[in-house]
Amino acid sequence: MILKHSRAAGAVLAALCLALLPGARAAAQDARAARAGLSLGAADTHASGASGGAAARRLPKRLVLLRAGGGEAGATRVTISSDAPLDDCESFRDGDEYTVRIPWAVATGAARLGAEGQFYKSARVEERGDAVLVIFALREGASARLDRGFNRLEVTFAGAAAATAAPSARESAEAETLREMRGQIVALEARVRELESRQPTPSSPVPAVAAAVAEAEPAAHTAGAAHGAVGQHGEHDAEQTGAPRLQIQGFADVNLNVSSQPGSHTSFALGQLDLFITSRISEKFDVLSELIVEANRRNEFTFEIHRLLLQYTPNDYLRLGVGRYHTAIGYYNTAYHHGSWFQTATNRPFIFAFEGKGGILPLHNVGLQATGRVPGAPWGLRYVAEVGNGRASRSPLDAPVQTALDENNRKAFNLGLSARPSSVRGLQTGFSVYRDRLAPSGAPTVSQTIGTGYVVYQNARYESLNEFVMMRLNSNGRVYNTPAFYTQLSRQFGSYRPFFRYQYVNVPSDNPLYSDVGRRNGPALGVRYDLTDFAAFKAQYERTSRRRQTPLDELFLQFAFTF
Amino acid sequence: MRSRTLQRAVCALSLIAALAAACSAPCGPAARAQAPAELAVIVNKSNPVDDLPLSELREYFLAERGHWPNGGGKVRTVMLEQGAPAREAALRLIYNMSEKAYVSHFLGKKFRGESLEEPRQQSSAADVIKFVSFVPGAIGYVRPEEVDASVKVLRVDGLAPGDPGYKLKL
Repeated sequence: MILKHSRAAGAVLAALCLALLPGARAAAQDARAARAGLSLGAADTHASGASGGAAARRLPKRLVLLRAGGGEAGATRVTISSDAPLDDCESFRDGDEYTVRIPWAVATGAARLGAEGQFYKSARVEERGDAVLVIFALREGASARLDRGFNRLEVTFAGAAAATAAPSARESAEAETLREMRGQIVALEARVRELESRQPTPSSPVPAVAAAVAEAEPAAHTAGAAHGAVGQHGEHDAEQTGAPRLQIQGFADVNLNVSSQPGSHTSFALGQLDLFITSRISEKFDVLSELIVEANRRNEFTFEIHRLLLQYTPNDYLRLGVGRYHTAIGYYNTAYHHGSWFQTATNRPFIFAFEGKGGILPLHNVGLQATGRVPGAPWGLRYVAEVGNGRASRSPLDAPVQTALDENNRKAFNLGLSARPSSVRGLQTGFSVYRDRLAPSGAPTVSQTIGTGYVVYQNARYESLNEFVMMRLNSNGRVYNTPAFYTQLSRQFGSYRPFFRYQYVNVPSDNPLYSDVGRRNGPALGVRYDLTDFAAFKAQYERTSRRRQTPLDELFLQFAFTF
Repeated sequence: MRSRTLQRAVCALSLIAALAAACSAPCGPAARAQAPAELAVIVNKSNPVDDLPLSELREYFLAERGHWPNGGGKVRTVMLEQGAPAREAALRLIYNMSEKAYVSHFLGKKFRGESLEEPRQQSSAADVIKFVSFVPGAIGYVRPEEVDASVKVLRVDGLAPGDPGYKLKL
């Protein structure tokens, strides 16, 4: 009601303006059109009346809406409404045609009239000049009249000759309208959903993202459950809230060992049970650990924390670690270490044997470690720098890895560079230099330098591991060099991977620390068969020549698996 | 005596190998959906990277690079689930690995302490797109026709999907 009054007031004002303007001799129709234009908005008022009728015709035309509707019994009605007054319309009948003329207008919704009605055979809308004509072809005996409202016209039909098909036609028209509206509602609902899903709430963007990630994550699951490793990533997501969670990956092996060593017996042997534990504790901090349970030669279980490292990784160029780690000496030590499932052969090359099993290299260390890519360097160049306690001097009474107490104040240093050129996938090469000072009890201190170099090529089919180690001990000015190397070749044939390895270690007889090792060299031949993606059977024959001893023949059968 | 033991062990080994071979008889070929003709690599729209050499793209997917350049944050790789044709295409075109080698690769990276990040896995392309669109450092792949405006398609060696010479094409 208020709207109607305001429009009426607008129209009156427009008429006054036109009357006051000199030379305003526009036709009554044009004046009404100007009034209609004014009613559309104040922005258009400057155009009205500025220059009479010509300007008035530039006003926006009335928008006329057509809609068929019901009416009283025996009649039907077509409603014509507009966004502007419709008091200048006229109607006339010519034969069977009844026409409503709406000047200065455009029509919409003509389709809603329907092809026919109860009292008219057809209806059409035509635009002639600036006017809209609504033309009804009346049925025989039908009549029509035009009722005018402010912005609304009603064409009411009446007559005795009601067409039999009319009700169904009206119903079908209404049904069509309903279908059309339903379609529009469905489309609008879909659009709203789309907009809602794409636009996070501005006031709380983080929860919105977190919610989205959380929503995305449930599907992000566990191929790893079937897959072991790659699956349980959800627990490690930085987006996840709550306390850190442990991820445990197990590695283990069961062996049958046959040896020609005098005094040895053919034995089944439980290998190491390696519980490899990781946990992301923040975006940049993580923890990894290896807990090893294994049986010793007295058939007693021993437990040892072989690795416990807190790592900080701010970017690709730096990863800082503190704790007990695998010394980055050569390739084999960090690539395989306790995970026998990873390695092709049943055992490690002797030069990389663990400290507690007669090995001569410091494979574990306690201290600080820094690794990362070398900024701007080609070939995927990486560095490693380590400082730690080093290993204890060889003594049956000492634990070789100085986990809690160093035997001296001098620390061990290790520096290395490695390259993984992306242009040669699978190639990795590098070197490292390790220095320490050992203090065996009752003997002069020993300066130790260990240089290593390696060239490794691995892809799905081929494996070629080649490493060289030179350990140099200096005691009282006398130098003792221990050279060692191994080369290992293998090729995958389906699930089988036959391999060959030759290794060589030569510790001088007068070496102040490791003379019991002596010279060991010889080939190993075997095959690895993958029972599943995560379990393998390996068989290996090894012959080792030793200084001043008979050669050693050994057969190793092993089931290695990860779980 | 000892050589007899060795002989027995070798016999046992042969027997085990034969049994293992028998157990490994391949199953019948599973019906597989057709692999996509091309892969579109998608990243979050906030990622400033528009173009990557294929070798560098591989490094991101293989977790050889864990961070985007210029402080772009951590890389979050997203994969489709095992069995999805697009995943198989990605393993072939990007990783150049078998499924087994892929799993072993990431397990090895983790074991060596090089990266604890593992690719997320999503069950559908729509989920991949949704994940990438919401996670700033995310990178994934879908069929080109599945891409919508919520993510950005990376050019690989200067070429976009559909361009002649595009390398992520079967």
